[in-house]
Amino acid sequence: MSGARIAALAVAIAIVIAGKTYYRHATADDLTWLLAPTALCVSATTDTHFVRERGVGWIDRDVAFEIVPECAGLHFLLCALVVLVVAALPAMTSWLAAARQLGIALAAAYAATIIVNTVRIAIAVRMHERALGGADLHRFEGTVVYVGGLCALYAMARRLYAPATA
Amino acid sequence: MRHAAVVCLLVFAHTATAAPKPDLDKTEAPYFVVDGAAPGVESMPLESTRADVHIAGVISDVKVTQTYRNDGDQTISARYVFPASTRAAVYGMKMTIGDRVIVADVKEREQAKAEYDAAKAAGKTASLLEEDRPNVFTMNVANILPKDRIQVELEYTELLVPTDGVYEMVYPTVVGPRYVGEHAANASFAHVGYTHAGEAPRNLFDIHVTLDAGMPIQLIDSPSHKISSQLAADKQSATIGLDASDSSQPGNRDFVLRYALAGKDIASGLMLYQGAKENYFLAMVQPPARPAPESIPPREYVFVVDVSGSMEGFPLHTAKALMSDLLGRLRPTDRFDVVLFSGATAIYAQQSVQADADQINRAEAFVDATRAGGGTELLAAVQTAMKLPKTAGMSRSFVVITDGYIAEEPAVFDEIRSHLDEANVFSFGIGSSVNRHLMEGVAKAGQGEAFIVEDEQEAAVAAVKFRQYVETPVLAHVAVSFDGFDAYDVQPQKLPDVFASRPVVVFGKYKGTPHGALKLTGDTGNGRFLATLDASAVKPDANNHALEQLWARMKISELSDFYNDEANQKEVTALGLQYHLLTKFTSFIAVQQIVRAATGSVDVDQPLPMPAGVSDSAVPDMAQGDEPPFLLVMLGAVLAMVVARKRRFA
Repeated sequence: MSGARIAALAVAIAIVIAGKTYYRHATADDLTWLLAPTALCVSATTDTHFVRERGVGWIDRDVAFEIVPECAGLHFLLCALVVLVVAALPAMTSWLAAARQLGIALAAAYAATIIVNTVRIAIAVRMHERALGGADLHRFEGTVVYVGGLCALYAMARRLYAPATA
Repeated sequence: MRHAAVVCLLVFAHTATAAPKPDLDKTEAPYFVVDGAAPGVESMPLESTRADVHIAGVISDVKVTQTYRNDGDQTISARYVFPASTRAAVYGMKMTIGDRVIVADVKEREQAKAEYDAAKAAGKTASLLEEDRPNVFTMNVANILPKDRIQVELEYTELLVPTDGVYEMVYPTVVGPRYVGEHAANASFAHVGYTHAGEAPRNLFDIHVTLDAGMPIQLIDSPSHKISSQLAADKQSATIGLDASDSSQPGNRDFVLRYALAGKDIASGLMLYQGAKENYFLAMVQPPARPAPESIPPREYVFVVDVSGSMEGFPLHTAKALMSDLLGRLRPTDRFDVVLFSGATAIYAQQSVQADADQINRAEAFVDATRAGGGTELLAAVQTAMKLPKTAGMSRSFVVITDGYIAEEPAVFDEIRSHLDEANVFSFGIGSSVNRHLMEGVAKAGQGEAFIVEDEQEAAVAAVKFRQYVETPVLAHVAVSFDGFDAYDVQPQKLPDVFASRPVVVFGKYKGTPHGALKLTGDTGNGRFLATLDASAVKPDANNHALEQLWARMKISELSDFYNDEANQKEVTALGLQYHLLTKFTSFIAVQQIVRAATGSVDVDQPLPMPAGVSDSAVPDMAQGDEPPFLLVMLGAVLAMVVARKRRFA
């Protein structure tokens, strides 16, 4: 493996570790960059209306559901970053290419997080409205959506980079 | 691919050893109790609370007895968050286990906590009383063994000051569920379990009052509870208790006792006490009668109304009635605006509007259309209201209407104080168990007046009083001076304008034999007011010993009750230790020096009843879309990548 690829992986690991550390202490206000677009997308794709509650997150009192720091999607974001960086390793043929691919992976991971987390929360809201299951079922639903999202993301990335490695 | 697996394993290793993320936004929020969550553990350790109140003249002395019982089969350590009067000077505590009585000592808060924790860890039975807010205390009782019955008694004294000739003694019974915003400091007391609205309190409550007025009593009444009272033959004393025929639960709302003396006379004048080291005085001066309103310039009013979840139902209904009464009494020359708040704020108009019939109707419709829900971001609402453009040439008043169920009182007081030169602030507390500390603090910081409205009937009366208070203060530019009376350490140092028909209260110390006079001056609508109290005509009385603690309590209140910072910590701590008082920085601790529990104890929070009239909406009970654990997601990702690689190379 080339130095550029090893460096890209090291940066990805560093981001994951830093992200996890940050997440441990992050408040709703700190995570606005993830929570706000997610709440907006969930509101737009379901008949809910999430409004901001300072210090808590985004809340829809009508459906008694809140999008709080624990729902931010940072776990998915970090995993997606690793998946995308691994998928893009073949394209990292130089230091410049590695930096570019890392940037693309970060942006794509962020976009994918908003989409996949929106799907996950929208389903969770529907389940909650229909009184389906408790926390365990919600977590199972979240795991299925997340892993499915990561599989799709990896498959798309591999397809994207396949010609370069053919 | 092997490299990717290694990467993921490294990440797993990091996250597996990381401490779980604390639930920062929710650790201090109230919650609903789940019955039977821990089998074999006593989940309701507080068996009963009994208050014995003795009122002599204007001073009440209260003994509160809390009985804890463990009917489970494991040793427990109980925590009970309970309210008290905002003016209570808590001066004593003792713990009784069987026949043994342990008198508590006052210590610096952190030292007391350390001693309590050490006693708890060592298996000793101990009790610790801490102040969370001037009207919210926490009692901790460590190592209550199965079948134990432990009594903790605390004693406090307070001054009763009549309004419009009516004395009111309030004994709060429950702390309402507090909304914990991001500015709430030291709000761990708010993290307590509640039973659902309408459920009966899980512990017994009883109160007995003996009243020695020293003058004929004309009226005894309680707007909160059904009471039975017996008046002595000379009508100067009475005993009051809860009426046994009342089937309602007494322990889920403030107990309010009102009484008036014949002819609505009030006890006023000078009281003296000669202490061992220093002498103390209390002066109560009745202000003049309220002048008739004459040509009153138009005013601008900004109403800040709480529509949060805890206001759902009866409180919001009462608030709407109050708003209707307040708006209906505005003059067409006045201007007004309305700010509704919960987690967010909604403003009626970006600039205050003329109080004509059309605007009042529209504003009433604006308020009526609101339904309760969400958090209680009072600070943000006050900030929003203060930023509304002011109409030039008009005096401005803010009116805050809320149940006060927040834990960020000091930040609100600071915000109001920072705009003191721009307006005065009045507060209306709505409900059966209002946060009176917030109401009084808002009024004090804003140099206004606090009102408590317990039901719709009281709304109209309060609205009339509010108009009177704002339009014609009883006494302005109040000052106290001493002529030959060697007074010092006088509290409060600055006397506010007097709105209500209520005596001006001044505490202080004096040197030597009392002689000379105390003079109170001020401006009324009819000219200058002067009242003189002749000190040489009054003799020190040993029965006035409570003046010592009441003086210290007022000084502590002036130093710390309404402030966010810890600037006066040293002074308050010294006062607490010297006068044996519970303060923000001093706690009561009692330890039985015998190891009773060898195997540790289970921590139990005594559940609180939802205050009467407050709905379940006051306690956040929201579903969340929590993310799956990171390790699980990462494992899924690795598997996905491995499967994809295998297929590719298959």
